[in-house]
Amino acid sequence: MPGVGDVYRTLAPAVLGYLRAQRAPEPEDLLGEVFVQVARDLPRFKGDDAALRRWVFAIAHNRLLDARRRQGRRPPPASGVIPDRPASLPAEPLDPALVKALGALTPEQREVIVLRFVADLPLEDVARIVSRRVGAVKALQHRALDALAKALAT
Amino acid sequence: MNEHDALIRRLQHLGTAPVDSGVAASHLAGLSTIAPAPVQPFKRGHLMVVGAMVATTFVSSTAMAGAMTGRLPGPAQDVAHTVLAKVGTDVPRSEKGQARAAAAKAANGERKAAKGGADDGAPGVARFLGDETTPCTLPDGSPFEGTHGEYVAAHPDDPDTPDVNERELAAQSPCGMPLDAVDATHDPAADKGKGKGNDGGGKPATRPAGGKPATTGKPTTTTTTTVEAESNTGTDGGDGDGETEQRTRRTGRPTTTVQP
Repeated sequence: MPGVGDVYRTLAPAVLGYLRAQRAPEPEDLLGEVFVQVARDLPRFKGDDAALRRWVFAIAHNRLLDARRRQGRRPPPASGVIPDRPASLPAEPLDPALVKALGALTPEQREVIVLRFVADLPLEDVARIVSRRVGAVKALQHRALDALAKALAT
Repeated sequence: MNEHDALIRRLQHLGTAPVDSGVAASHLAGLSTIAPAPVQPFKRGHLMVVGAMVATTFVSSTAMAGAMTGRLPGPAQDVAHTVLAKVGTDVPRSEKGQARAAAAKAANGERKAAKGGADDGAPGVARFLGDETTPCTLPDGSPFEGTHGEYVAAHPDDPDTPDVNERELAAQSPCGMPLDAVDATHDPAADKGKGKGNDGGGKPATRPAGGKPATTGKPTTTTTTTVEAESNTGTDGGDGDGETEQRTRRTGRPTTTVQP
Protein backbone atom coordinates (compact mmCIF):
# COMPACT_ATOMS: atom_id res chain seq x y z
CA MET A 1 0.00 0.00 0.00
CA PRO A 2 1.55 3.34 -1.06
CA GLY A 3 1.88 6.14 1.44
CA VAL A 4 -0.22 9.27 1.26
CA GLY A 5 2.78 11.19 -0.15
CA ASP A 6 3.07 8.81 -3.06
CA VAL A 7 -0.63 8.98 -3.72
CA TYR A 8 -0.47 12.76 -3.65
CA ARG A 9 2.42 12.93 -6.10
CA THR A 10 0.68 10.50 -8.46
CA LEU A 11 -2.89 11.78 -8.39
CA ALA A 12 -2.79 15.38 -7.24
CA PRO A 13 -2.29 16.83 -10.78
CA ALA A 14 -5.29 14.95 -12.11
CA VAL A 15 -7.41 15.88 -9.09
CA LEU A 16 -6.44 19.53 -9.43
CA GLY A 17 -7.25 19.41 -13.16
CA TYR A 18 -10.59 17.86 -12.32
CA LEU A 19 -11.36 20.59 -9.79
CA ARG A 20 -10.29 23.38 -12.13
CA ALA A 21 -12.25 21.95 -15.06
CA GLN A 22 -15.26 21.80 -12.77
CA ARG A 23 -14.71 25.47 -11.89
CA ALA A 24 -14.41 24.62 -8.23
CA PRO A 25 -14.07 27.55 -5.85
CA GLU A 26 -10.49 27.75 -4.62
CA PRO A 27 -9.33 24.46 -6.20
CA GLU A 28 -5.98 24.31 -4.39
CA ASP A 29 -7.67 24.50 -1.00
CA LEU A 30 -10.13 21.86 -2.08
CA LEU A 31 -7.25 19.70 -3.26
CA GLY A 32 -5.81 19.91 0.25
CA GLU A 33 -9.17 18.87 1.77
CA VAL A 34 -9.38 15.90 -0.57
CA PHE A 35 -5.99 14.59 0.42
CA VAL A 36 -6.58 15.19 4.11
CA GLN A 37 -9.45 12.72 3.88
CA VAL A 38 -7.29 10.40 1.78
CA ALA A 39 -4.59 10.50 4.44
CA ARG A 40 -7.12 9.70 7.18
CA ASP A 41 -8.80 6.82 5.42
CA LEU A 42 -5.93 5.34 3.43
CA PRO A 43 -5.03 2.72 6.09
CA ARG A 44 -8.52 1.23 5.69
CA PHE A 45 -8.47 1.24 1.90
CA LYS A 46 -8.13 -2.09 0.14
CA GLY A 47 -7.76 -2.45 -3.60
CA ASP A 48 -5.49 -2.03 -6.60
CA ASP A 49 -4.32 1.13 -8.33
CA ALA A 50 -7.47 1.48 -10.43
CA ALA A 51 -9.61 1.18 -7.32
CA LEU A 52 -7.42 3.70 -5.55
CA ARG A 53 -7.85 6.17 -8.42
CA ARG A 54 -11.63 5.69 -8.38
CA TRP A 55 -11.71 6.08 -4.60
CA VAL A 56 -9.69 9.31 -4.65
CA PHE A 57 -11.87 10.83 -7.35
CA ALA A 58 -15.01 9.77 -5.52
CA ILE A 59 -13.69 11.73 -2.55
CA ALA A 60 -12.91 14.68 -4.81
CA HIS A 61 -16.43 14.52 -6.29
CA ASN A 62 -17.99 14.59 -2.83
CA ARG A 63 -15.74 17.39 -1.56
CA LEU A 64 -16.66 19.43 -4.65
CA LEU A 65 -20.36 18.97 -3.93
CA ASP A 66 -19.77 20.03 -0.32
CA ALA A 67 -17.84 23.11 -1.44
CA ARG A 68 -20.65 24.12 -3.79
CA ARG A 69 -23.19 23.73 -1.01
CA ARG A 70 -21.04 25.88 1.28
CA GLN A 71 -20.68 28.44 -1.47
CA GLY A 72 -24.46 28.52 -1.96
CA ARG A 73 -25.04 29.17 1.75
CA ARG A 74 -22.36 31.84 2.03
CA PRO A 75 -23.79 35.39 1.93
CA PRO A 76 -22.59 37.56 -0.95
CA PRO A 77 -19.88 40.08 -0.02
CA ALA A 78 -21.11 43.57 0.80
CA SER A 79 -20.61 45.94 -2.06
CA GLY A 80 -18.16 48.75 -1.65
CA VAL A 81 -16.12 47.03 1.07
CA ILE A 82 -12.45 46.98 0.22
CA PRO A 83 -10.50 44.01 1.58
CA ASP A 84 -7.54 44.84 3.77
CA ARG A 85 -5.22 42.75 1.61
CA PRO A 86 -5.32 41.89 -2.07
CA ALA A 87 -6.91 38.62 -2.96
CA SER A 88 -4.64 36.10 -4.56
CA LEU A 89 -5.07 35.94 -8.27
CA PRO A 90 -6.51 32.66 -9.50
CA ALA A 91 -4.05 30.48 -11.28
CA GLU A 92 -4.29 30.69 -15.01
CA PRO A 93 -5.88 27.52 -16.35
CA LEU A 94 -3.82 25.44 -18.65
CA ASP A 95 -6.31 25.71 -21.51
CA PRO A 96 -8.56 28.72 -20.90
CA ALA A 97 -10.63 28.19 -24.06
CA LEU A 98 -11.33 24.57 -23.17
CA VAL A 99 -12.23 25.43 -19.60
CA LYS A 100 -14.56 28.14 -20.87
CA ALA A 101 -16.19 25.67 -23.28
CA LEU A 102 -16.59 23.18 -20.45
CA GLY A 103 -18.49 25.86 -18.58
CA ALA A 104 -21.07 25.91 -21.36
CA LEU A 105 -21.99 22.25 -20.84
CA THR A 106 -24.74 21.08 -18.55
CA PRO A 107 -23.50 20.09 -15.09
CA GLU A 108 -24.18 16.41 -15.84
CA GLN A 109 -22.28 16.52 -19.12
CA ARG A 110 -19.39 18.39 -17.55
CA GLU A 111 -19.20 15.96 -14.64
CA VAL A 112 -19.04 12.98 -16.96
CA ILE A 113 -16.60 14.44 -19.44
CA VAL A 114 -14.19 15.64 -16.75
CA LEU A 115 -14.25 12.38 -14.81
CA ARG A 116 -13.88 10.39 -18.01
CA PHE A 117 -10.98 12.28 -19.63
CA VAL A 118 -9.40 14.64 -17.14
CA ALA A 119 -9.50 12.12 -14.31
CA ASP A 120 -8.95 9.33 -16.85
CA LEU A 121 -11.47 6.95 -15.35
CA PRO A 122 -13.19 4.15 -17.26
CA LEU A 123 -16.90 4.42 -18.05
CA GLU A 124 -17.85 1.96 -15.31
CA ASP A 125 -16.07 3.96 -12.61
CA VAL A 126 -17.62 7.21 -13.82
CA ALA A 127 -21.04 5.59 -13.76
CA ARG A 128 -20.45 4.44 -10.19
CA ILE A 129 -19.31 7.87 -8.99
CA VAL A 130 -22.18 9.80 -10.59
CA SER A 131 -24.71 7.07 -9.72
CA ARG A 132 -25.87 6.50 -13.28
CA ARG A 133 -26.00 3.56 -15.65
CA VAL A 134 -23.09 3.04 -18.02
CA GLY A 135 -25.35 3.59 -21.02
CA ALA A 136 -26.50 6.92 -19.66
CA VAL A 137 -22.90 7.96 -19.01
CA LYS A 138 -21.94 6.99 -22.54
CA ALA A 139 -24.77 9.07 -23.99
CA LEU A 140 -23.84 12.05 -21.83
CA GLN A 141 -20.21 11.73 -22.92
CA HIS A 142 -21.20 11.62 -26.60
CA ARG A 143 -23.40 14.71 -26.36
CA ALA A 144 -20.80 16.53 -24.28
CA LEU A 145 -18.04 15.91 -26.82
CA ASP A 146 -20.29 17.15 -29.64
CA ALA A 147 -21.20 20.25 -27.68
CA LEU A 148 -17.58 20.93 -26.78
CA ALA A 149 -16.45 20.53 -30.37
CA LYS A 150 -19.10 22.99 -31.52
CA ALA A 151 -18.24 25.47 -28.78
CA LEU A 152 -14.53 25.35 -29.60
CA ALA A 153 -15.18 25.64 -33.34
CA THR A 154 -16.98 28.96 -33.01
CA MET B 1 -14.69 8.81 -31.41
CA ASN B 2 -11.93 9.60 -33.90
CA GLU B 3 -13.41 12.93 -34.78
CA HIS B 4 -12.96 13.99 -31.13
CA ASP B 5 -9.44 12.63 -30.64
CA ALA B 6 -7.86 16.03 -30.56
CA LEU B 7 -10.46 17.29 -28.13
CA ILE B 8 -9.95 14.28 -25.87
CA ARG B 9 -6.20 14.85 -25.83
CA ARG B 10 -6.77 18.47 -24.79
CA LEU B 11 -9.06 17.26 -22.00
CA GLN B 12 -6.52 14.69 -20.81
CA HIS B 13 -3.84 17.32 -20.82
CA LEU B 14 -5.85 19.28 -18.24
CA GLY B 15 -5.20 16.50 -15.75
CA THR B 16 -1.45 16.43 -16.26
CA ALA B 17 -0.62 19.99 -15.27
CA PRO B 18 1.62 19.78 -12.19
CA VAL B 19 0.55 21.27 -8.92
CA ASP B 20 2.39 24.41 -7.97
CA SER B 21 5.49 23.39 -6.03
CA GLY B 22 4.74 25.70 -3.12
CA VAL B 23 1.18 24.43 -2.79
CA ALA B 24 2.33 20.81 -3.07
CA ALA B 25 4.99 21.32 -0.40
CA SER B 26 2.51 22.81 2.04
CA HIS B 27 0.02 20.04 1.35
CA LEU B 28 2.58 17.31 1.85
CA ALA B 29 3.78 18.93 5.06
CA GLY B 30 0.26 19.01 6.36
CA LEU B 31 -0.52 15.48 5.29
CA SER B 32 2.48 14.10 7.16
CA THR B 33 1.00 15.32 10.45
CA ILE B 34 -2.39 13.75 9.92
CA ALA B 35 -2.97 10.66 11.96
CA PRO B 36 -4.99 7.99 10.28
CA ALA B 37 -8.54 7.59 11.49
CA PRO B 38 -8.64 4.89 14.14
CA VAL B 39 -10.34 1.72 13.18
CA GLN B 40 -13.60 1.54 15.07
CA PRO B 41 -13.33 -1.12 17.76
CA PHE B 42 -16.10 -3.60 18.09
CA LYS B 43 -18.47 -1.85 20.45
CA ARG B 44 -20.07 -3.54 23.40
CA GLY B 45 -23.54 -2.72 22.07
CA HIS B 46 -22.75 -4.48 18.83
CA LEU B 47 -21.58 -7.49 20.77
CA MET B 48 -24.85 -7.62 22.69
CA VAL B 49 -26.89 -7.36 19.50
CA VAL B 50 -24.93 -10.16 17.88
CA GLY B 51 -25.27 -12.27 21.02
CA ALA B 52 -29.02 -11.73 21.11
CA MET B 53 -29.29 -12.70 17.46
CA VAL B 54 -27.31 -15.88 18.04
CA ALA B 55 -29.39 -16.77 21.09
CA THR B 56 -32.65 -16.11 19.24
CA THR B 57 -31.52 -18.23 16.32
CA PHE B 58 -30.52 -21.05 18.64
CA VAL B 59 -33.77 -20.99 20.60
CA SER B 60 -35.97 -20.73 17.53
CA SER B 61 -34.15 -23.53 15.73
CA THR B 62 -34.35 -25.74 18.80
CA ALA B 63 -38.05 -25.01 19.20
CA MET B 64 -38.60 -25.65 15.52
CA ALA B 65 -36.85 -28.98 15.73
CA GLY B 66 -38.94 -29.91 18.77
CA ALA B 67 -42.13 -28.88 17.00
CA MET B 68 -41.30 -30.91 13.91
CA THR B 69 -40.91 -34.05 16.00
CA GLY B 70 -43.91 -33.32 18.23
CA ARG B 71 -41.84 -33.07 21.41
CA LEU B 72 -43.10 -29.70 22.62
CA PRO B 73 -45.56 -29.51 25.52
CA GLY B 74 -49.16 -30.02 24.42
CA PRO B 75 -50.42 -26.43 24.04
CA ALA B 76 -47.14 -25.25 22.52
CA GLN B 77 -47.25 -28.10 20.03
CA ASP B 78 -50.82 -27.16 19.05
CA VAL B 79 -49.79 -23.52 18.63
CA ALA B 80 -46.82 -24.57 16.50
CA HIS B 81 -49.14 -26.74 14.42
CA THR B 82 -51.53 -23.85 13.82
CA VAL B 83 -48.88 -21.21 13.12
CA LEU B 84 -46.61 -23.30 10.92
CA ALA B 85 -49.57 -24.63 8.95
CA LYS B 86 -50.06 -21.08 7.69
CA VAL B 87 -46.60 -21.13 6.10
CA GLY B 88 -47.10 -24.58 4.64
CA THR B 89 -45.08 -26.55 7.20
CA ASP B 90 -46.70 -29.72 8.41
CA VAL B 91 -46.19 -30.09 12.14
CA PRO B 92 -48.10 -32.71 14.13
CA ARG B 93 -50.57 -31.79 16.84
CA SER B 94 -50.20 -32.89 20.42
CA GLU B 95 -51.99 -36.09 21.44
CA LYS B 96 -54.79 -34.17 23.11
CA GLY B 97 -55.04 -31.88 20.11
CA GLN B 98 -55.35 -34.85 17.78
CA ALA B 99 -58.15 -36.32 19.92
CA ARG B 100 -59.98 -33.01 19.97
CA ALA B 101 -59.61 -32.60 16.23
CA ALA B 102 -60.92 -36.11 15.60
CA ALA B 103 -63.95 -35.51 17.84
CA ALA B 104 -64.68 -32.20 16.16
CA LYS B 105 -64.37 -33.80 12.75
CA ALA B 106 -66.78 -36.56 13.68
CA ALA B 107 -69.32 -34.12 15.07
CA ASN B 108 -68.99 -31.98 11.98
CA GLY B 109 -69.57 -35.01 9.79
CA GLU B 110 -72.75 -35.88 11.66
CA ARG B 111 -74.05 -32.35 11.34
CA LYS B 112 -73.31 -32.34 7.64
CA ALA B 113 -75.05 -35.67 7.13
CA ALA B 114 -78.16 -34.50 8.96
CA LYS B 115 -78.23 -31.20 7.10
CA GLY B 116 -77.55 -32.79 3.71
CA GLY B 117 -80.31 -35.35 4.21
CA ALA B 118 -82.90 -32.70 4.88
CA ASP B 119 -81.82 -30.58 1.95
CA ASP B 120 -80.99 -32.80 -0.95
CA GLY B 121 -82.10 -36.28 -0.13
CA ALA B 122 -78.62 -37.59 0.53
CA PRO B 123 -78.46 -41.32 1.16
CA GLY B 124 -78.38 -42.45 4.74
CA VAL B 125 -81.24 -40.25 5.92
CA ALA B 126 -84.21 -42.17 7.26
CA ARG B 127 -87.40 -41.10 5.51
CA PHE B 128 -91.04 -41.75 6.06
CA LEU B 129 -92.13 -44.29 3.43
CA GLY B 130 -95.57 -45.14 4.72
CA ASP B 131 -97.14 -47.14 7.48
CA GLU B 132 -100.45 -48.91 8.13
CA THR B 133 -102.45 -45.70 8.36
CA THR B 134 -100.61 -43.66 5.75
CA PRO B 135 -99.41 -45.77 2.87
CA CYS B 136 -96.95 -44.19 0.44
CA THR B 137 -97.54 -45.67 -2.98
CA LEU B 138 -97.07 -44.44 -6.49
CA PRO B 139 -100.15 -43.96 -8.74
CA ASP B 140 -99.58 -47.39 -10.24
CA GLY B 141 -99.75 -48.95 -6.75
CA SER B 142 -96.03 -49.75 -6.43
CA PRO B 143 -94.27 -48.83 -3.15
CA PHE B 144 -92.61 -45.41 -3.11
CA GLU B 145 -88.98 -44.71 -2.25
CA GLY B 146 -87.43 -41.27 -2.46
CA THR B 147 -87.78 -37.73 -1.22
CA HIS B 148 -90.94 -35.82 -0.54
CA GLY B 149 -90.43 -33.75 -3.67
CA GLU B 150 -90.18 -36.88 -5.76
CA TYR B 151 -93.37 -38.17 -4.14
CA VAL B 152 -95.26 -34.99 -4.97
CA ALA B 153 -93.87 -34.98 -8.51
CA ALA B 154 -95.07 -38.54 -9.00
CA HIS B 155 -98.65 -37.53 -8.20
CA PRO B 156 -99.97 -35.18 -10.87
CA ASP B 157 -103.48 -33.84 -10.66
CA ASP B 158 -105.88 -36.27 -12.35
CA PRO B 159 -108.26 -34.42 -14.70
CA ASP B 160 -110.79 -37.28 -14.37
CA THR B 161 -111.36 -36.35 -10.74
CA PRO B 162 -111.92 -32.58 -10.77
CA ASP B 163 -113.07 -32.55 -7.18
CA VAL B 164 -109.82 -33.97 -5.83
CA ASN B 165 -106.42 -32.35 -6.20
CA GLU B 166 -104.09 -35.34 -6.02
CA ARG B 167 -100.95 -33.24 -6.14
CA GLU B 168 -102.03 -31.17 -3.18
CA LEU B 169 -102.90 -34.25 -1.23
CA ALA B 170 -99.45 -35.65 -2.02
CA ALA B 171 -97.88 -32.42 -0.89
CA GLN B 172 -99.71 -32.59 2.38
CA SER B 173 -98.67 -36.16 3.03
CA PRO B 174 -95.47 -36.91 4.96
CA CYS B 175 -94.26 -39.40 2.35
CA GLY B 176 -90.55 -38.95 1.62
CA MET B 177 -89.98 -36.50 4.46
CA PRO B 178 -87.09 -37.16 6.86
CA LEU B 179 -88.30 -39.02 9.89
CA ASP B 180 -87.00 -36.22 12.12
CA ALA B 181 -89.35 -33.80 10.45
CA VAL B 182 -92.27 -36.23 10.61
CA ASP B 183 -91.60 -36.93 14.28
CA ALA B 184 -91.48 -33.25 14.99
CA THR B 185 -94.91 -32.82 13.49
CA HIS B 186 -96.07 -35.68 15.68
CA ASP B 187 -94.70 -34.24 18.89
CA PRO B 188 -97.71 -33.02 20.87
CA ALA B 189 -95.51 -31.21 23.35
CA ALA B 190 -93.98 -29.22 20.55
CA ASP B 191 -97.37 -28.36 19.19
CA LYS B 192 -98.50 -27.21 22.57
CA GLY B 193 -95.38 -25.26 23.24
CA LYS B 194 -95.48 -23.38 19.97
CA GLY B 195 -99.07 -22.41 20.60
CA LYS B 196 -99.61 -20.14 17.67
CA GLY B 197 -100.34 -22.82 15.14
CA ASN B 198 -103.11 -24.32 17.19
CA ASP B 199 -105.51 -21.45 17.03
CA GLY B 200 -106.32 -22.16 13.44
CA GLY B 201 -105.31 -18.75 12.19
CA GLY B 202 -101.50 -18.62 12.32
CA LYS B 203 -98.43 -20.31 10.97
CA PRO B 204 -97.88 -24.04 11.29
CA ALA B 205 -96.89 -25.02 14.78
CA THR B 206 -93.71 -26.82 13.88
CA ARG B 207 -91.20 -26.94 11.08
CA PRO B 208 -89.10 -29.83 9.80
CA ALA B 209 -85.36 -29.82 10.20
CA GLY B 210 -84.86 -28.48 6.71
CA GLY B 211 -86.65 -25.28 7.56
CA LYS B 212 -89.64 -25.78 5.29
CA PRO B 213 -93.01 -25.91 6.90
CA ALA B 214 -94.65 -29.31 6.84
CA THR B 215 -97.65 -27.89 5.05
CA THR B 216 -97.62 -26.25 1.66
CA GLY B 217 -97.72 -22.88 3.31
CA LYS B 218 -101.27 -22.07 2.38
CA PRO B 219 -103.54 -20.54 4.98
CA THR B 220 -105.10 -22.96 7.35
CA THR B 221 -108.56 -22.05 6.27
CA THR B 222 -107.83 -23.16 2.73
CA THR B 223 -106.37 -26.40 3.92
CA THR B 224 -109.36 -27.01 6.10
CA THR B 225 -111.65 -26.50 3.17
CA THR B 226 -109.66 -28.97 1.15
CA VAL B 227 -109.82 -31.54 3.85
CA GLU B 228 -113.50 -30.97 4.23
CA ALA B 229 -113.97 -31.40 0.52
CA GLU B 230 -111.94 -34.55 0.55
CA SER B 231 -113.84 -35.83 3.52
CA ASN B 232 -117.15 -35.07 1.98
CA THR B 233 -116.43 -36.54 -1.41
CA GLY B 234 -115.12 -39.85 -0.15
CA THR B 235 -113.88 -40.82 -3.57
CA ASP B 236 -111.25 -43.07 -2.13
CA GLY B 237 -113.84 -45.50 -1.06
CA GLY B 238 -113.22 -47.24 2.20
CA ASP B 239 -110.21 -45.24 3.49
CA GLY B 240 -111.77 -41.80 3.14
CA ASP B 241 -112.19 -40.19 6.54
CA GLY B 242 -109.60 -42.12 8.45
CA GLU B 243 -106.83 -41.41 6.01
CA THR B 244 -107.71 -37.78 5.71
CA GLU B 245 -107.56 -37.33 9.44
CA GLN B 246 -104.25 -39.13 9.67
CA ARG B 247 -102.71 -36.97 6.92
CA THR B 248 -103.97 -33.86 8.59
CA ARG B 249 -102.45 -34.80 11.87
CA ARG B 250 -99.07 -35.73 10.38
CA THR B 251 -98.72 -32.57 8.39
CA GLY B 252 -99.09 -30.48 11.50
CA ARG B 253 -102.45 -28.99 10.84
CA PRO B 254 -104.70 -28.70 13.83
CA THR B 255 -106.99 -31.66 14.23
CA THR B 256 -109.76 -29.47 15.52
CA THR B 257 -110.41 -28.12 12.06
CA VAL B 258 -111.18 -31.52 10.58
CA GLN B 259 -114.85 -32.00 10.06
CA PRO B 260 -116.03 -35.61 10.28
